[in-house]
Amino acid sequence: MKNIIAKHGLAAGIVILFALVFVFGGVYSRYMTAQIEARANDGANAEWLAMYDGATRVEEFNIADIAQKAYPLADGRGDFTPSILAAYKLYATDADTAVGVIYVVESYGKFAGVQIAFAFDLATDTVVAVKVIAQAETPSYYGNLDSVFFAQFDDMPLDDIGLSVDAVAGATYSSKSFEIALLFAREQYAADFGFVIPSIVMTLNSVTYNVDPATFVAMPFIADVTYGEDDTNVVVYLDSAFEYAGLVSGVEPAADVKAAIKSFAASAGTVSANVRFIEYDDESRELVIEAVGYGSLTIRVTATLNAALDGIDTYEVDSHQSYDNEYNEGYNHTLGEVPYVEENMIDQYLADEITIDGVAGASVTSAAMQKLIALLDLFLLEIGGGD
Amino acid sequence: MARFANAKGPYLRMTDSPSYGTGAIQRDFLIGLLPVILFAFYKNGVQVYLDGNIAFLEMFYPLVFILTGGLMSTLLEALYFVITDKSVRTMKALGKKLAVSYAAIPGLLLAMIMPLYTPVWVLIFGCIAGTLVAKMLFGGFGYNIFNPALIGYIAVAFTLYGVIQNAGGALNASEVLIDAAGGATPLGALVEGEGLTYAALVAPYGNLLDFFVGTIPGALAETSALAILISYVWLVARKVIKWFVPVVFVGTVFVLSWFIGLIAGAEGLWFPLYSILSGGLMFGAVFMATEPVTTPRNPLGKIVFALFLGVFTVLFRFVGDFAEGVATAIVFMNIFTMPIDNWTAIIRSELGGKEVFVKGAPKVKKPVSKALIKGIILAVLILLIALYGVLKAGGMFTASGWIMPLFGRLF
Repeated sequence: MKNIIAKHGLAAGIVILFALVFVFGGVYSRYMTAQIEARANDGANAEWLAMYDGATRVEEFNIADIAQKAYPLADGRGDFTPSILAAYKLYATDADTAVGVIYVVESYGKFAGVQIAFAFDLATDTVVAVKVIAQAETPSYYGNLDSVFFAQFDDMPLDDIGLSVDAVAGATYSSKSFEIALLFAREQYAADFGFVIPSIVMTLNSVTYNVDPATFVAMPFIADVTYGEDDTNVVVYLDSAFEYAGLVSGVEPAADVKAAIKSFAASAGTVSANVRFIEYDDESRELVIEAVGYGSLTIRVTATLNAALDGIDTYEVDSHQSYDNEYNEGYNHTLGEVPYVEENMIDQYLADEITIDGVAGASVTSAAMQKLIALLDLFLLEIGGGD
Repeated sequence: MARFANAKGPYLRMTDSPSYGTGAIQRDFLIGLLPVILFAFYKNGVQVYLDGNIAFLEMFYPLVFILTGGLMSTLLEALYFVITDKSVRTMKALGKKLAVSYAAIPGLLLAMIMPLYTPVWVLIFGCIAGTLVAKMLFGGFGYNIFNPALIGYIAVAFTLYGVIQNAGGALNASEVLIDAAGGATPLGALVEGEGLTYAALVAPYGNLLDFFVGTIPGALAETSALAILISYVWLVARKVIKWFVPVVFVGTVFVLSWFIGLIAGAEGLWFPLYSILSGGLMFGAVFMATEPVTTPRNPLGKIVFALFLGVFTVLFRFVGDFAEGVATAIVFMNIFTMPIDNWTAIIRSELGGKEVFVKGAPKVKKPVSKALIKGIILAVLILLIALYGVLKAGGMFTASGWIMPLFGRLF
């Protein structure tokens, strides 16, 4: 025995010490991990509880299965199918009845990865809080979402037939991500808590630009809808936020129908608030149109119509675009100074090109110009039968 | 009374004397680690306890964790000696052997650069990879090619990183409650594509002074530039490390990051300062890049080595997927320690000496020597890698190209 201890005692001692450190160190670190997990949960729970005044307890719950639903993105950039990442019930006391619910929704703004949490009040069916959990939007644009933007969610009723989110200029894509998330959260809320989403039988026959110089500034869009059991038809003016602005034909609809028209027209994607008529002077035949291009900066084109009102004699471009900021590498130096792209595309139009090609290296500006030229073309078609 | 050496040279410097051998250097190095260890204890233990987020005994966990690393690597080395060397199978002999072999240091350093909530078994795995594989199997202290602590770190980072994250990661019990940080360390925020803006990379953690002091999320003991600077001064004063190695290493990263910032639109000095004050750069520059065994020995070699470390850190950090480029850069450059030592020794001897002119003798033009060519090759290599790293990284952080913004901002 002595020999064995003398021969292997040191090695055995080291191994035993090693094992002891392994075991006790492991227990200590396991304990610390449990502690930090509890702290992290406390922290997360505190965030959820802060979204509902008076809530004292939060509990994750399993949501009901609902069908996937695609929503159109801003500016016709395709569709996005949101998803619920997590859902929590909020309790004001230890009672079993929840007072509120939080849905964390994956949405899409300028880019993917926008995660927004909405807290709904179960008693009033209203939005009580909104919180951005994660986003990877362009900071300079996303920063335009100010307190006024978020204030619109305060007590927003979910039974609004035209539930929508007012976009902020300069952050339209990010704004849209909130609307997509809210609409889908409401779908989930309806499935989980028996809430009935108000609906109205409505067909949007068309939504177009208003080309009447007398009214096109205040009421840039015209919507033609058929609604109700008896297929009532009405044509209405809409303002730049797609709110009802006046009647073209038919009988003025009720408030819920107006809200539905707004919702239908805004999500149709056939017209854009990023391009609009500014003014038209009958005497000088000068038409001013403005489009929003890269960086929310404007392009303003003043076109002088010919005597027959079916074409353009001259035009001027006042552009605040900056291709350098967009694609740099000396773009201006290779293709020309601003407004090279704008003039190039109008010249294509004047040369009777059937398709107006964009200019490589200035895709956002090109897209804005394509909309602007389409609006110009529409105006000529209406006023002088131009083609 | 002044003391003069009466005998002929060469003379022994204090650092070469028997009383200042490996053991003394090891002692000084351990003392140098103290400010950093104490700050780690304060930031992740004392302060969190004072915040009311952990209990009293939990406060000591950072210290226990670091000491566990040192103890485990010592035990592993002891076990290796006992098994492989019959002459050290007594406590006395083993103690003597361990006293001069830097036994505790790999484990200590490894624990210091790990996230706070790394499970102990993961730390032990790192110690095994570092001490046994990278150090003892190469022949022990003095023969290892790679920095043992960093081999342990890389082994863990590439295999068990998810385990560490699941166990709690780097954020202490106070930091985990701070919503602004979003659960990421400052370098993690960079990798997560937050963009090169002050608001995304610095503001969530306070300001650059917080980065300097070290009250930001990060690995256990590498967040405080202040504590590391105190250690740096001590280590330089005790001649344990050469002062210029960390300066060149950190300075290179600073300059290259500044260029990257210019390209990506992050103008000003905040981005290069963020670059050198986040992650393990300062820690690596003072405690790892100066390691005596695995880095070049002659001064020029050390400078070249540090320059390469700087450019590779930038390359790995900003271009690679793994935010922390320091460890990878040092381990990668350990491979080239010997050739750099040889080349720079030749360069120093051929180009560094004074020319002797004999009066009246014709001046002979010196031919271009091999040393000069070697010097040019090294310089070109450094410049090319640096240029690639800067342009590639700068281009990654901006949606647009890079040449015109850079030239536009520079001139």
